[in-house]
Amino acid sequence: MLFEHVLSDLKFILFPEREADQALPVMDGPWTPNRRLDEAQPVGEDIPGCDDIAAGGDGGIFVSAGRQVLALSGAGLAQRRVHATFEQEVGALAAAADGTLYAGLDGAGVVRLDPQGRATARLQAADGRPLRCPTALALLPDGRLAIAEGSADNTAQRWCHDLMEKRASGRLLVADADLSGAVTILDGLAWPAGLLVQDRQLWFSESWRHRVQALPLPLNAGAQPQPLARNLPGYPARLSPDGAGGAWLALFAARTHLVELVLRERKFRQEMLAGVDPHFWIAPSLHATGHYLEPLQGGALKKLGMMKPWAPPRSYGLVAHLAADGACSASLHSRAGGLHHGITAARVHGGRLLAASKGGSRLLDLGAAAAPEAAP
Amino acid sequence: MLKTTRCAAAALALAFAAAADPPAGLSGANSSAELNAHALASLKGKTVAWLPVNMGVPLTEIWTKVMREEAQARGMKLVMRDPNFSTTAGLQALSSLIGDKPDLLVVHNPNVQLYAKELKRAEEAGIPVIQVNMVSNYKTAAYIGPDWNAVGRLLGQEVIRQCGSGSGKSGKVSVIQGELTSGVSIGQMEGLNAAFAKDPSIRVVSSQAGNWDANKAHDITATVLQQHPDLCASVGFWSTMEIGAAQAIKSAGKLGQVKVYASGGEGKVDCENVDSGLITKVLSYDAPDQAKAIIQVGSFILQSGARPDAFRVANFSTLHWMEKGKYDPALCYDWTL
Amino acid sequence: MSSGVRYNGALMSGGIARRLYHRWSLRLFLSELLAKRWMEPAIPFVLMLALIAYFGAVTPNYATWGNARQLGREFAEMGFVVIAMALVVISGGIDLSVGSVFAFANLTALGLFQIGQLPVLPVIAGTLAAGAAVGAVNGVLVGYFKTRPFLTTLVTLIILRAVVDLLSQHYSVQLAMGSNTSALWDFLGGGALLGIPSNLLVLGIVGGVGHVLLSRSRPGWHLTAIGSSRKAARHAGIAVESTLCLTYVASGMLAAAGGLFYAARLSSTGSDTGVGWEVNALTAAVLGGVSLSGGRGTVARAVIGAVIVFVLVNGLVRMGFPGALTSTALGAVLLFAVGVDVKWAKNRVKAIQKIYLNPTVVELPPAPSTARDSGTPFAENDRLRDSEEIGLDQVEGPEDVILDRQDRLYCGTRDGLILRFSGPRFEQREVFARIGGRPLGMAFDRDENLLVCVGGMGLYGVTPQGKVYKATDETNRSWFKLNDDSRLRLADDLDIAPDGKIYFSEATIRYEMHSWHLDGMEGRANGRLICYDPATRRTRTVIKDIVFPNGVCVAHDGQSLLFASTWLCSIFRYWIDGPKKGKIETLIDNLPGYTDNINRASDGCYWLALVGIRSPAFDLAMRNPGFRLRMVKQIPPDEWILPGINNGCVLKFNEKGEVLESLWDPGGRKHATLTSMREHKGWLYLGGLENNRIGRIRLPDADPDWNGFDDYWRKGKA
Repeated sequence: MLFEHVLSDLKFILFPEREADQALPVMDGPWTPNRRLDEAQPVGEDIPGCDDIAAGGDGGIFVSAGRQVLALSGAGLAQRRVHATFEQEVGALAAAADGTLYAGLDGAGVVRLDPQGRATARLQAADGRPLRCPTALALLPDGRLAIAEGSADNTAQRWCHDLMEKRASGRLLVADADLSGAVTILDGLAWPAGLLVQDRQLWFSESWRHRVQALPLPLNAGAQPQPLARNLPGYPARLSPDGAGGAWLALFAARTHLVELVLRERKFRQEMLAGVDPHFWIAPSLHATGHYLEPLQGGALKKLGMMKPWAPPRSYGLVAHLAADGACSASLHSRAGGLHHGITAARVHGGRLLAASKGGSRLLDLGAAAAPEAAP
Repeated sequence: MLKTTRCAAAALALAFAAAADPPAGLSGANSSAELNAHALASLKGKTVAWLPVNMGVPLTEIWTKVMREEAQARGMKLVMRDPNFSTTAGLQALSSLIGDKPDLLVVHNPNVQLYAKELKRAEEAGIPVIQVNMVSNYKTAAYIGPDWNAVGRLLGQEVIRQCGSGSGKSGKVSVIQGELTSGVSIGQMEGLNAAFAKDPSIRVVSSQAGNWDANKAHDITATVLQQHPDLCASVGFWSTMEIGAAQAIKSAGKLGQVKVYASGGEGKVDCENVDSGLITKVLSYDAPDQAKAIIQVGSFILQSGARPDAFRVANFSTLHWMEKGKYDPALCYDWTL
Repeated sequence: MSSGVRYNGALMSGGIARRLYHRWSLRLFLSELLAKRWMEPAIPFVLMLALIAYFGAVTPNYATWGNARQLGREFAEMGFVVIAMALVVISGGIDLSVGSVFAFANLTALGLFQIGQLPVLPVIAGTLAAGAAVGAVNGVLVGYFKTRPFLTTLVTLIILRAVVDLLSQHYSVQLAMGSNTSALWDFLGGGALLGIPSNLLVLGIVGGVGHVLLSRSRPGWHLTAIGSSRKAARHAGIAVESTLCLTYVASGMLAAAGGLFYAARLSSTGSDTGVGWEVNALTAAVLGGVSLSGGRGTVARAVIGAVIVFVLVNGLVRMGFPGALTSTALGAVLLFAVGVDVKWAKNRVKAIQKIYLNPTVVELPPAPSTARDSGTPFAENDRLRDSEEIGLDQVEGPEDVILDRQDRLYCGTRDGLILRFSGPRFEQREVFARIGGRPLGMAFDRDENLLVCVGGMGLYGVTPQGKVYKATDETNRSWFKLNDDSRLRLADDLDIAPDGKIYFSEATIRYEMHSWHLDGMEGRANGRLICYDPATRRTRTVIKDIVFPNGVCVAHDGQSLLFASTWLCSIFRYWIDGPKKGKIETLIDNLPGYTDNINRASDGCYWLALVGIRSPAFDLAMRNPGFRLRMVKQIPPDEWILPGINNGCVLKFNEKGEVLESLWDPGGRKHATLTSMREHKGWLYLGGLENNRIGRIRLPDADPDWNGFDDYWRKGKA
């Protein structure tokens, strides 16, 4: 035990740059906190469990929420109907131009839906391994489907376990349009959770390694990913196009010093996983309740009846805009004490930026989605 | 020259023999063996402590080298401390040497006062002390070095010859003393003054302390040359220091015009400097010979078994003029060899 | 209910080695050691002893009386010069002229004695005056004209050296040949008293007086203050100009004293007298721990540094090192010393901070459930949610609240005030007293004086007229503790026994009010229970080594005292009277939250404030001291995990220690960090350490006439 810490100290001394890569970045520059997520208007009624957003065929959108896929349409997306219902939680969505919708089912793989919402194909295993944790889907230019599998050890619901167990068993797969012939492109990923097809690249986010990388298209096994954005201040999730070569990135929680410390503390972490109710772990959350049994951090002490917005956030709302080179150019925040936390997806629809706040159980309208001036 | 030293030493030995307690009954068939035994036993394993003012100049280096050789040849050991021109360190070194109780102490005094009390203390502690070149106000068993008064007189006479009445020169002389209160400076200054007193045309335009430092001598001389472009001669109390004065004269383009005189015992360096014309004349004391005399006299003192304060003797070094092409090559020792 | 937890938190599980390991800590010792002021000269002092021991071992005849005397005689003059330098350095300046003043004094003394043929006493006076005159030039320039000390004294150094050279030119031979003697002169130069060389003796006296003056007298403090910050010293009303000027005068005189002894001892006017001594003196001063940046150092330290330099140089000379090498060695030592000086000054506090906190194991059993449906007396509810607000946004941090017989409400605030609210709805706010510090627990004595525990100050009282008086601010110091624990750091809560003795808790002796939560990070038994007897005005520690003792309450029968140990989530009973007098018992342990103030309830029970609720993650952290240690070291304080004090909860328990009910404000919407409650005439008043209000709720079943003062002091008399 002692030795482990001596070693980590040594590493710190010998390879400071390696450590610097992990050092928690300060939120400044384009990451400077603001209240734009808090100020956003919700789209209609609350949508408990809203997770991903995909373009609908008729000018509307699909939103996955709980065990349903909802179709929102009409002016102000005011019309809402259930497109499909499953026995599992629905997460990732990807819509093809012909009205076909692919949906990731937690613990049950990927399903292909026809425009009427009927399942026409399923993918439940690939390369001899069950596919249980689809986290993101994207249609490739050749019509095939790229699939991100967050983990081989945990389902999507148990993302927090996967993080705290320090897993890195996620995969990147490609399947044909009819979900046959799935092959693994990359293995050993630490919770890949977002996919985006750009010009000649496939961007993917890797939550536990706080980075976004790119693979050259067309995909083939053995391709080396190129880094786009690394050491992000939060856990990156889904990616969507901004129409100008860049991307919108949803980060479902902010990294904190305390969580990073716990991730370094093997013994403490194992005891916590074994003995503490997951709700009260020292871990990020999509929606902190402020319950007195949740761990309290110094900055979050209520003084004179108030909590400071810069308190270390157990849950946080964060959407970032990445330029074509992967550099962050702007960000939208909901800080400690705010409501619109746990953003799992952000997507431009009809010129407006929408975001799914899973923590706040709301779909947010963030206004005109003029992409911030991307760095040339 | 060597011969003269030996003679002097032998005479000294006789004097000691008379004064001190000789081993009983040194006559007869066995007497040679007994004398041998006495001499050997008096010296074997003895320690000679040696405290120069500094090391790193030919004079002290050759002294140390020859003394060590001579001492070892007699079965003695030489220990040396180098205070590097620091009076503080010198004094501490002297105190510690006295504490170490060597059998013989050889001292090179930075000035006439500094070591005086310590030398007295050394004698009280039973250590005979030999002073070399630079003498203290407190006189001990032996002094080995030039008669500085005579050195000053000889230098003065040489200056008068070049610059005095009838020479047609200005008669202006600059004197670079060493450490003012050093026995070397005091003695030479007295001799010079005595010589100059005989020729009213000689004017000492500057008499300053160079503190054995060639840079200082250079600076002093450069200033003097500006004030007195018609300077006739520069006299320095140590050739190593006087080189600085000579350089200043050379820089002023007056080499040869201003005569440069110094006393010294720097061996090869002195020879080169007179050969190159930098120094007109050096009045040399034979340094290796001095070192031999130190050990010889020391050896006599030890054999005599006398109290350290039983006598006060001096062994004046023979003086030799050196000028371009005219000097005994034996004076050009190279201590590095 | 009790399972026998001890008030000092001694581990109940694990082997003896584990328990000892967590009870005693080398780090703890080190950190407290480092924080001591005398630690700074300790290192040079050890270095000095080591050097002496080393040279004593390798040099023959070193450790002899004769040698010691000889060394002492040679050392003394340098000692004077080092003190001269140190004084000026402490004042924030530097005196480069000490070496040439030394030489000048040497020449002056010899001149007056040998050429002037003056008696010795005028020679002494004249020499010292010469030194003082040079010092005055420096002093006036630096003090009044605000020239830079380095350049000013550099110029003095050069000019004075030239003067010495010039005078030497004319007089040195005469001086060297001088023969004036006198017994006193010889005594100065070579005499001894009781075997101690005269110059060393005088150095000892001057050094001793100087040390006391510098570190224990007003002028000395002024000097140090100026060295720390000239500006701040001026603001504090210190006469900066004249103090600085006098410092240089003193420096000049000290250097001159050195020169005087040198003259008497050696009568030498060598041209290198005093040359380079300023560097040696500076090296010595810095080596001894006199900071180059000023404001830090003592005469004793300077002398220690001087001894180090002297012994080092002397030793190297003795060992026959070439002279040039000795100078180089000295230069290296200076460089090293300055480096250490800078690093030490910069990093000492940081180093202490890094290792001051020494977490230990606090093992608590799993907390009882507080779930709404748990059926336990701790079950969460909303009974405090509808509290009435008193003084909303008019108070800052009413840690404790109390009411007097006229139903006026008192509380302390974080800005050191005692506020009083009166009127039917407490709408009148007035400042009752200004104490300062951080007023915490309160109680009324028999004479209606309000006794207050003031964090950072001690135990204070306020008369009914609002006059503040000190009760006590210190207790007996305990042996074998590095930290001076006689002063009260964090008096927390008090209560008064029927005999008038005041019992109060001091939560921790290792942390101040502003860092009280760090004590929680540590979890050590750093607190104590103290008793102050107003009759005898004596204070003594009753129980040492308690884990954060907080609330104190005298039991209804007056025979025992209840006190809370916050981090142990427990209540203990200490018998102050009756057959069990002196015994300590565990009354309640393993509560679901952190215990704070305890007060009497009207029904013979007690109220207990839970300042926070135990969170499972924090409990786990408390069991893992290594984790807490690394957390404190690696991440900023705002990110540390803390006890869950964003909550409000009050419990009621009976004399047997059974918890009967709980009143909640879950999440602390109105009463986060609830630290106290006080029952008064059918209401329960609520205070909070960090709150901006006082709250009260009606207690429908309580005796509507019951109040604390009468319960304590009018029992049976009504």
